[in-house]
Amino acid sequence: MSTDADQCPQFLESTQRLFDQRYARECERLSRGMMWLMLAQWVACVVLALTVSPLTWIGSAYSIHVHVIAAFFIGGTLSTLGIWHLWKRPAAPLTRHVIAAVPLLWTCLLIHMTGGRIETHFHAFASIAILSLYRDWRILITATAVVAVDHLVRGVWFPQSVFGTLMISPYRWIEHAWWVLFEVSFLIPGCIRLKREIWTLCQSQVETEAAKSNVERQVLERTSQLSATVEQLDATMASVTETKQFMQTIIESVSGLFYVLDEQGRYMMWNQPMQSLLGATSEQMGQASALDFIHADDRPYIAEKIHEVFTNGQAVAEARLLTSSGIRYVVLNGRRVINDGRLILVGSGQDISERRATELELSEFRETLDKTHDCVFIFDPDSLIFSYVNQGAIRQVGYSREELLNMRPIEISPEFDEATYRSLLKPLMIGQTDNRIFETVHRDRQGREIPVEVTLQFVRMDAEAGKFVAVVRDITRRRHEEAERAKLENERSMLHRRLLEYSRKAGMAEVASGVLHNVGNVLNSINIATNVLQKQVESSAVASLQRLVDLIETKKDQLPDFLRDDPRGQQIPVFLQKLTRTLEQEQQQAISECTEILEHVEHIKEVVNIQQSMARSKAIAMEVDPADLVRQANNAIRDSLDKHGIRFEQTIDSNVGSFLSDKQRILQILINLITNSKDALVEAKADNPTIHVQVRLHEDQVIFLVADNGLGIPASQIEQVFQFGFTTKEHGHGFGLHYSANCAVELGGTLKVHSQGLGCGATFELSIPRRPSPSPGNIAAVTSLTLPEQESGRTEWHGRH
Amino acid sequence: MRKLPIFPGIITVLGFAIVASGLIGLTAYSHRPGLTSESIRNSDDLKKLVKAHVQGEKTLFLFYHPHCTCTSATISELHDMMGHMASPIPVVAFAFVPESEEASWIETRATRSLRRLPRIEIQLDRLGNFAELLGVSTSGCILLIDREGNEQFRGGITAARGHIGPCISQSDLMRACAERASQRNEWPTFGCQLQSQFSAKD
Repeated sequence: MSTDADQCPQFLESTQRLFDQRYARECERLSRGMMWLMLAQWVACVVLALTVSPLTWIGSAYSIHVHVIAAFFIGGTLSTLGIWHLWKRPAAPLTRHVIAAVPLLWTCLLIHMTGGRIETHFHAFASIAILSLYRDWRILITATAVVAVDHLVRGVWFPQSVFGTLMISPYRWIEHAWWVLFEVSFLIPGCIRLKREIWTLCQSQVETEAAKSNVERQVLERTSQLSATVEQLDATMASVTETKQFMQTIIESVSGLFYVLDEQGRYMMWNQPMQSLLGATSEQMGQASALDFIHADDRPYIAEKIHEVFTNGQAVAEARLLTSSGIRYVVLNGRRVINDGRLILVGSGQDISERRATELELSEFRETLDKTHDCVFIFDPDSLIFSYVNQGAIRQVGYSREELLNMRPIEISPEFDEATYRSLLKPLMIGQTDNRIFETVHRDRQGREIPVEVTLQFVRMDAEAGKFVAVVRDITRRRHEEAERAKLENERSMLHRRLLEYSRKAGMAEVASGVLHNVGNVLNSINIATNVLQKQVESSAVASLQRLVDLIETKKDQLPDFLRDDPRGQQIPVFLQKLTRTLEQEQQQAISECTEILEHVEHIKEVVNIQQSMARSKAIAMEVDPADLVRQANNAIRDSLDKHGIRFEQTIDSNVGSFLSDKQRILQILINLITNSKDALVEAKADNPTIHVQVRLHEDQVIFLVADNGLGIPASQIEQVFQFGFTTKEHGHGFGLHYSANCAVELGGTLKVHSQGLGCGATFELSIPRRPSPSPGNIAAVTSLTLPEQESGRTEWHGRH
Repeated sequence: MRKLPIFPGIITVLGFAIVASGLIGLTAYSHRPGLTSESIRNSDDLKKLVKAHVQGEKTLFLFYHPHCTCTSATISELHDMMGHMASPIPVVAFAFVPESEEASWIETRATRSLRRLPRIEIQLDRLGNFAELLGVSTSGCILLIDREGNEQFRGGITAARGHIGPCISQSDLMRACAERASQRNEWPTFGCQLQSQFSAKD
């Protein structure tokens, strides 16, 4: 159904243009397929010729068959012509007509190549059917014409080539053409109908696009109108915004605080510094009253000032603002303004917190200086007049602050005249030195002179000429203390000398005690040996010999008979033999006791030597056999042990060999220890009293352990056992262990004691290095002895070098 | 006004002209007969030689080149003829064989097709000598020989080279086979040349 719009030339033109575009695209798409079809026909024809009739023969000779050449060249020309058109001008009408002619000419060639096979004629019908895809009925006419002309020409002149027989009517070509026309007569309406449908579709599309364009145009018109309106509004808004921005810029450019309050004291407007100072958001400020940010103590005052502005037109006030960063001090200035018939308060302000803080700091600094005990004077370098004096200075010199602020340093320092004082200041002014410290005297208002120490500095500020700062300290007390200290030093020196004298005497006493103690021990042993020798002499068999002499004297005349016949005389030789053996034994014992006495005497000599050497602090190193040491110690006290029934045991490890040390000192220590153990056992009256001496090697030390099951040492006394003069024995001197510990230290070793308390016995551990100290003077270097270190039930004595 | 496509038009005309010329030339070639040969000579010796191959009242002598593709149309027409005959006529096919080739050289599609005829005998014709004796120079040439050795038909039974389909010469042969011919008919033969010493091209 056509409408007026359909008849519109513009509409028809648009539809035609759209139709042509779509048909061109359709032709292009179809052309690609047709090109491949052309190529395939050519290849197929050549293959057919090569297969069916490749060669032509003349007897035994042969050559390429004409069909092969025809297929290659004629077929090639046909396909090339078609492909060229399809490639170069796929949508051109001429191309379609060429494409309509080419397949039908291919039909002619193929009919000839197949020897006029009637089946090959179907190629023509198939080609026409394919051509109908172009939906162009005109090319079907072209195809029909080609078929008709071909059949006409060949039917007349070469009927066999087209109809396969010579016996046909000259009008047979009409029949063939009619059949083609018959097919075409059905295809043409189809092409027309299809093309019309496409046309209809294009019409619909054009109508749709036209409607769409119309709507778009209307939208554009409305949009244009709206844009104009919006532009007007934008211009108005821009003007307003510009004005507002101008005002805002002015407000923001104010470095101080700016604000506008309504009659209720609420913020109407404020600048950024104001908001930044308060640290509030815009919403918070818009909803808050100005008094909300005022310190609670200042609110009544500020409320009164706001009221004063609205009443009198202007007011100025200082207040503390509550800000997010704390309390800030501000100066506020308000003016009353009428805006749009309303009263408003236009205010400005200044943050004076820094100034306040500086003032406060300065005040505190001045107060601190005033409270300082030292005197602080600040004076001008040119006039030398004081510009500042603290309270200490006022107290010291007795002048008032006002008086001092008109005075100069030389007026209170009688030791200086002006020239001398300026020469004193000069190095400070030229930077030759940082400060000058000197002692002088100040004279106060009453004329009293006060000794002082002055520290003088030249302080140069950035933009100022500089000031002299003098810190003056009253040194009267210090002078007095120094005098007292000198006096005490003299007294201390005298005491020290006296102490040294007493120490020397005490040392001498200690040495004498040592000698006496050690000699006493040895003399005790000599005494025992002498007693034994005396008893031995008193009970000697010599008396029996005297009786025998008396008997022989009696029988001297008849001695031979007596010796031969008398029974008593017969026993004389036997008696003499026994007597001889007895006397020999007594002699051996006497010799042994004498030898022992000699050894003890030798020991006494050594003790004396040692005591003498202590004055020289020299050690005597010699090879020491631990077993021999234990034996000698045992011999020294054996009789006493036997007397009290004390068992002596000894255990000497086999790996402890001889070592270099001071034998006599070690022996002295061992005798002391064993003697102490014996005394402890006797006092404790212990069952099975035993002294066990053990010698073993520990690392590089030879350890002598003297253990007893005697009285033991209570914990409260264990740390005192090595102290000089400490003893628990009734007749003790408190020297033996002290001396032994000293000896152990001098030998480079230690002496320790272990005891679990009373009744638990005690063990003394003497540790001696296997090799003497590298420096012999090491022993000699012992200068003092420390108190023993105590652990649990253990005390150790060691030296400090 | 739409501009005429001159160059494409020239190309089109030129292309179609070449194609038309080619098709015309090809058609003319297909309809050019082989060399016309002389009729069988009526010498007694030759007659005896011919009669030796005659197997009935009438016998068809087919001279062919085993590799000639055009002759396939002749053999196809022979099959068609035999199908229309109540009593198939004997056929003696003389296959051209070059001197240097073995007998197997004749085993081609044409020979295999001939063997499917009902009464067929295939003989080798070295160098086409026998064909030459009978004046035959083109493959596909058929001779109809009666019992007496007389030649009643000579020529091809296709209208063009390799073209199958009914033709006048074929109808003439059918008629000669069926009736006692009063006169000898001679038709052109379309096919390859049998003897290379002939100068004329087929």
